[in-house]
Amino acid sequence: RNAVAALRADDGQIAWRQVLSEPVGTLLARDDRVLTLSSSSSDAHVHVWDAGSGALAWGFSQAAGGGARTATFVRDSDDVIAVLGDELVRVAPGSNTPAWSLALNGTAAYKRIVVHGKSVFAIGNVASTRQAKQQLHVVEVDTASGAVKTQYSTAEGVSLGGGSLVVLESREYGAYLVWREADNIVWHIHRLGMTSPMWEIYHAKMVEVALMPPDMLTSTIAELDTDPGLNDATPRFTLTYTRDGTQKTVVVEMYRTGDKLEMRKIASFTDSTAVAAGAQRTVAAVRTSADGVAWRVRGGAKHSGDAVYESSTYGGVTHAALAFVGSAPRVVVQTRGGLLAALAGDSREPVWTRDESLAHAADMALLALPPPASSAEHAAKETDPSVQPSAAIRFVLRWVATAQALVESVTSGFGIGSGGHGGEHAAAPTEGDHFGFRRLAVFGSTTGVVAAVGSQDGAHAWAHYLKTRVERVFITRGSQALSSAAPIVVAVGRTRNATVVTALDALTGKVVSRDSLPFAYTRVFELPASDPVSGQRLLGFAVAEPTPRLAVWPATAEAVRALGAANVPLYFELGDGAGSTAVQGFRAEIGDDVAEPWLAAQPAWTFDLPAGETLISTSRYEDGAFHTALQGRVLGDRSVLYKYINPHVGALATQRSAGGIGVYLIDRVSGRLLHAAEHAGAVVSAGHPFLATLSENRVIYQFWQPGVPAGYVTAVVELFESDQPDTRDERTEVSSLDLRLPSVVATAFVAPEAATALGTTRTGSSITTRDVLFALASGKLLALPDAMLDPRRPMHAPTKDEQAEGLVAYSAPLPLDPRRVLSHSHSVAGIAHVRSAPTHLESTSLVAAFGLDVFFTRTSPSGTFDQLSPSFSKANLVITSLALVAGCLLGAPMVRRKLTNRAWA
Amino acid sequence: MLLLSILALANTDGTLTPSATEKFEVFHDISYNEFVQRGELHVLNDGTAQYQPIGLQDPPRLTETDSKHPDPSKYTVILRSLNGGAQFVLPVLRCRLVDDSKAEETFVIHTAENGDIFHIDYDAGNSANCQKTHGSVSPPVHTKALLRKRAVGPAPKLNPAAVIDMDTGKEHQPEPPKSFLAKYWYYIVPVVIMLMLGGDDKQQEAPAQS
Repeated sequence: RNAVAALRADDGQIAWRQVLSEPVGTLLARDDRVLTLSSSSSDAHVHVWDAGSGALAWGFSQAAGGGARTATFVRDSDDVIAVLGDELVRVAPGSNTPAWSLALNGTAAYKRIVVHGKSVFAIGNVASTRQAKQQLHVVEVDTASGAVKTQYSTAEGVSLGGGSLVVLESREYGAYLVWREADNIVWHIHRLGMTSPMWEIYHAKMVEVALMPPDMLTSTIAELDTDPGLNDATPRFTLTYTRDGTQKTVVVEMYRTGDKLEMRKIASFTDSTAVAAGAQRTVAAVRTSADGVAWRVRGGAKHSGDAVYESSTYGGVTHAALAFVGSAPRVVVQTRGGLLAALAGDSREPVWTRDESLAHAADMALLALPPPASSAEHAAKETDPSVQPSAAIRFVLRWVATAQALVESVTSGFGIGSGGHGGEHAAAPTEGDHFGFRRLAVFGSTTGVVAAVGSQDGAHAWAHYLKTRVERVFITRGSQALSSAAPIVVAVGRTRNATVVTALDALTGKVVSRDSLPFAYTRVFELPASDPVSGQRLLGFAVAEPTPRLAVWPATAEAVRALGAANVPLYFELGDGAGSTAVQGFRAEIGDDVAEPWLAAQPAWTFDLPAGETLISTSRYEDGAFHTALQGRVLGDRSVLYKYINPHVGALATQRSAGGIGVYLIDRVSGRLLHAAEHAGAVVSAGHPFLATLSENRVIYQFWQPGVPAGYVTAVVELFESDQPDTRDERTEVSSLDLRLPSVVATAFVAPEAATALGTTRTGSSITTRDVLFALASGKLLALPDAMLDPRRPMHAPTKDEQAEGLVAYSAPLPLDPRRVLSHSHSVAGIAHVRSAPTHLESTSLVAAFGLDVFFTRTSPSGTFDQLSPSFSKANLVITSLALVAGCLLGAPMVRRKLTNRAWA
Repeated sequence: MLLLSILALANTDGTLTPSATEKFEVFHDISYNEFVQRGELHVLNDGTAQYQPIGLQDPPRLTETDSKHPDPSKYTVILRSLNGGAQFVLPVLRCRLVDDSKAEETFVIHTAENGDIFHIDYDAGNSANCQKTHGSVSPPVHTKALLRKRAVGPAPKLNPAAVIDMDTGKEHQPEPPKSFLAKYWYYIVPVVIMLMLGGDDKQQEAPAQS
């Protein structure tokens, strides 16, 4: 990922964090400095940070075609030596040019730099050829001048990172390569820079472990002191082997007796899944079992402990780190699913945990929790389980409960605080609120974790580790008040050639079912029918190979029959991924034979991109985003411009080989082209992505436009049925198969800054105007009103009619108004997705943004017109009403008397 | 030559006759997999397209290799370029033309900025006809051809860059527009003076000649 963070060992809080533009490839901590190496497709960046504050000490960038490979500090200096692209460079702080640079042999992939004395060694893997085996190539360079001293190949048959070779750096003894050949039990040791003899052969028992040859041949070695600053005298490594079915890890230390290099065993661990080096020559090992984690620290005082941990929640431990808080060791473990936990002392509970799986979230679904039920409803349900949660019954029960509460309050006296929620069941995590604000956000992450988080406070409700990367999550069965049927969330993941569908109880995270479907899907979406057995919404998987088809989940004949009974034509596309040159539409055919849980698909259309263009991305309406309450726009002269509403509109963005991009709006049912536009100077790359969002009759997209002035352009395309007011399609039934060409109004604005995701707010009835959501690269979530992105904004001072329509004069720059930043002062890093969901209040939308961070809020684009303000005094209202009633009662006799007197007069 | 070319293109009304940049033969799949030519589609250089029907007496047909189409539920039209360009296969649901004696068809031709055709859409008949359970397919009798050019995408309309005076830090205001007299008075005044002086000379010279 592209973030570097320092955590406090005592409480797990983030001490500092830096988010880079590119993924971080190398991370090295030394003394009070942290070195990171990151690269894009064309540039490599060296950053040195202050370890205490996270402030950037200095940086260096260079064009590097192959990216950044590795880097290290120079001992007793602030300089850094790095392999950037195919160059070995030495960089001094604050310098824009390297002190020296050396073009390396392009045939080796240099992944390791060792600095020892006056020499720098660049070590790289040379791939095997027909003539030669895999081997290492070493280039020895003078540290001061960058001149090549010598270069040679060694260590035939092994490679860096292959499990059979380690690099040991010792300030006193020098730098060594230690390896064991693939089919040999003896050890080879080579001192870097020495070519005569090239290496020495050591006995198999060099590491003081007697192994039978088969066990030795399957053993692996790994570096332990990856930071030589920790242990620069006698470097250590680990040997891991299996004997009699038990896995053993031995920690070995290198030392020298006279001229003879020797190894000795200093610790051993059984069944350890991760080993870590600590300060003062300590070493920690962690072992994971099904329900716990055991840790041991050796070197100096011995420490050990056990912690309760269910590996089914976040997976087993993969990495460990050893830190000290005072003199007490603290073992920080990282799990396969993305959990960080600190283990220490005698506590069976982790000292702290951090769920970093959400930083890998690929998808999110919002579960609407049922509104709180009254105690009378619960009592009725417990007395008679057949009570159905119908609206009428709940209405009656609620009034009964209110009457009971009133009687109780009268009989027990009016106690302070007895009102309000007194008659209601205590709020539980499984209950929502009356306005629909409280939700459960269920995330699926690429680390294989499905986790549910409360929308109100971000508290974790549950998590489950699925072992396969999760790409999509769906709520297939919602929650209902007083219903015994639990809501279901389905996580869709994939293995190499199978699709894994796991259904979980959305309130507890318990696995309900797990299916491995024998195909690789290209897209998954909800189908317009429910499974009659489980009551879950059906899912459809578009499958391209071996023949195009639509697989149905749950994979049962009943589900396919239910889909057939729905009698809704099903269309889907294939070939809509990046790099494609043609998109093909298919119509799924529901046949008579429902023995197979899939539908054959017939080609419906093909949209060939123009010659020289390749697809960048495809955008569709998010769920319900095309809904609108207003079929047209009322103009200033009271005429109406009717909107072109078509839920099947899709936006294709293409890269043109001649430069620039193309944008095509197509109908995804008929394949017809509705609108085409080109942006000749636009540039789309990994650093400048193309983003788009669709809502109602509007397509908004953003891209990078170089030149003078350069900037991010936000283009808005609005589709109408006609360019003439009061002209509309009079057909009562509209089909995508009938030709309907929209009239297009388009304009463009200058975006305030780079965005990483776009979205629009949603409300229940789409009466409230929408806000367009910009997730900015600076970590802000900006909400701009719909009207600001109106393509009909006039270029001049608006006329009376235009003012009546609500149009304001065009101004190219979109403002970065702090009052419109939904994230307020929070920095939400790396937002990749922005989602919105309606609440029970028409005025209010829920907004979730996630990527590296997760942010959840609610917003009211048109104000909270359907809510009482917090300052509204209900007491005053009651007092005023009572006063009016009292006034009427008092005044009535007087009025009656006056009328009587007037009648007698 | 240029003049002759222009004259050749001009019709009797004096306007230029648009010429076709691309011509297609239009073949209809009237009975399944038997493609019969019914007209020609001309893409004109004035940004329009025209359809010209041809006579029904022994119309040209496509060979099987040119017209093979796998889906019998589709009514297919094939546009074959007369200029050696791409061939477009345009299917619609056959049921849309069932028992529709007044069926219309529409060709929508999409062109790039240089006039190259990159996509053609076709529509014929009506979705409502698919509700009919029986009937035979009637070829369309009315044809429309639309030409749509790929738009140049919108670009922000920026104000001219502001110029800040380095000394005052204030923005340079554009000079207010001047009237014609204010702008060219130094040309006009000498001319007027010369005209006035020149008139006096003639009056003075007249008595001397007489």
